[in-house]
Amino acid sequence: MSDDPIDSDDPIALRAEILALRDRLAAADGGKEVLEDLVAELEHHVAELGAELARNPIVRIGRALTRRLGRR
Amino acid sequence: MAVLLIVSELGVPPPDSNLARSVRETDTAGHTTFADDSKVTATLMTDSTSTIAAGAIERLVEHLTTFTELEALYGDSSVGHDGGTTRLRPAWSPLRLLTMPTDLDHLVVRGRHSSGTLADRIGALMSIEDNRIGHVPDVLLQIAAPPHLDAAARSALDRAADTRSVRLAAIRGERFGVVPAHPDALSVIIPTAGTAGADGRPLIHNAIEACLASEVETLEVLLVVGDECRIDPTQISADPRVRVVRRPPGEWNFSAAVNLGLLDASHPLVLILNDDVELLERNWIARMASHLGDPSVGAVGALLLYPDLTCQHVGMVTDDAFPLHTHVGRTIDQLEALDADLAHDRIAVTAACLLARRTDLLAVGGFCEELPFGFNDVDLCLKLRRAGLRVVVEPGARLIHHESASRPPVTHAWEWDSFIGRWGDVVDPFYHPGYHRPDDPHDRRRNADHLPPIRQYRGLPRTAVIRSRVHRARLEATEPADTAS
Repeated sequence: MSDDPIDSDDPIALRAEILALRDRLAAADGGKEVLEDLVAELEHHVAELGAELARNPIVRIGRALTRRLGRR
Repeated sequence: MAVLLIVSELGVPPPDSNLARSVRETDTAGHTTFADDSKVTATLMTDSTSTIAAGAIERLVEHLTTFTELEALYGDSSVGHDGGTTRLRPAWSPLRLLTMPTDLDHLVVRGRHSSGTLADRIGALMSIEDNRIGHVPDVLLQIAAPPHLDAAARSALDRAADTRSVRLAAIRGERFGVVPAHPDALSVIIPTAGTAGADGRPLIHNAIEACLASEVETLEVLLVVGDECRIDPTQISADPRVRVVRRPPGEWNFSAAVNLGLLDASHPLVLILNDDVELLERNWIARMASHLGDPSVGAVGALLLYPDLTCQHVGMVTDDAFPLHTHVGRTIDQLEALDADLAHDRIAVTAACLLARRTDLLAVGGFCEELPFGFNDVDLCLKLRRAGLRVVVEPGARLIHHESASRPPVTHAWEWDSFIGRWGDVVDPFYHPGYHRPDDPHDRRRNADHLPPIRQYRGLPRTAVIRSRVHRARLEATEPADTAS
């Protein structure tokens, strides 16, 4: 027998373990939402940066040069 | 074409409204037409004395177009002449409608409605799901005076109360309280170390007396004690309703102590209570329990007062994700003047006095034992809210709280890290962003929520329930256009 509650014959220990696992599950759900928010925020920043880059004259010139070189 | 129909209690647009300045085209029936392709049809219901803020109609149409999941919107108002008082409102709180119905001076709902009386507004709201009602943190209207609760509105209010399984009683003017309802059976969980008060008497005696005086028919009081208990727990009370639950040896952990009591509790309702509270009036538990008749409510908090009878707790807010007690240090008269003595929704309430269903607490895993000292009550409330339940405070239930008399207050940085790790940057839907003070330290005695706003705030709609979806919608709404050539 180990110290692991799964090996316990004590119903109080087992019930406490179930409660702790439920708590972790609830926290994981909360954490998932936090991560989803962060991903959405990061995606937004990436899109902003992409748009900013696309507006940059050097990038536009570079794209125009690439197109012209591609036609040759 | 987007159409916004504007109606007052007279069935026509407010005669003094500045519609001509705000809209592109309005016909005589109040149909306001916008030359775009957003395909929105909605009705702004308000009083005939209202004046609509410049640009408010365009913003409402924009919000209705962007936040398609929202069925109704309301904003903030300026009440009175020459600017008057600004009414900054929280996200949708069903209780706030029931306790202060005349605050509903306007409402925007999808579809066409022919009348905009207060009764119509209340009726419209009660047929819409809570998470489809959005608040726009922005002054949309100027009104001369709050609407009057006429017989039709009172009747609509009673129907609204019925749908929430509560009964209302006027407490002053057109402000209402929820009629107390004694629970059939209750388990009270009090973790205690047997600390003595200033008079040398263990504080726990007052807490037990407060419970036994509450006239609950079937009551058990569980005293959760560990090795640190300074008195013989078996000698604390001879009342057969009081019994002792022993903690296993180990470091003090409030969450673990409450969980132990929770697992041992026999009754469907449980009250988590600190051992340093004192009775003020006998109906306090019945006042709190009246809210649990509404299945959407998951936790109820109380008004806790310092011994000098100033406010210690009437609910919490989170500002920059940090939990703060609101209205700390205010007198009862001041709370009344601010309507903070009325039952309302909050993001969290303190576990110093928290009533809930045992099944709800067990379903979310009880209190987080990784938060042994602080933030465990906010964490619990966030878990309940995430499970779709509301957290409310009933200021009619009043106790004296000798805060931290039994145990010195401790806030550990690692607990804060753990809390933030679980919940991130918690956005409080009931805390108006106009009150936010970015330069303020996190002072618990700060009277959040009733200081004048430091800036005019113009925000996007928010609901009491949906968080990430609205957040995502906001991001999508502000997504930069693809300008790549």
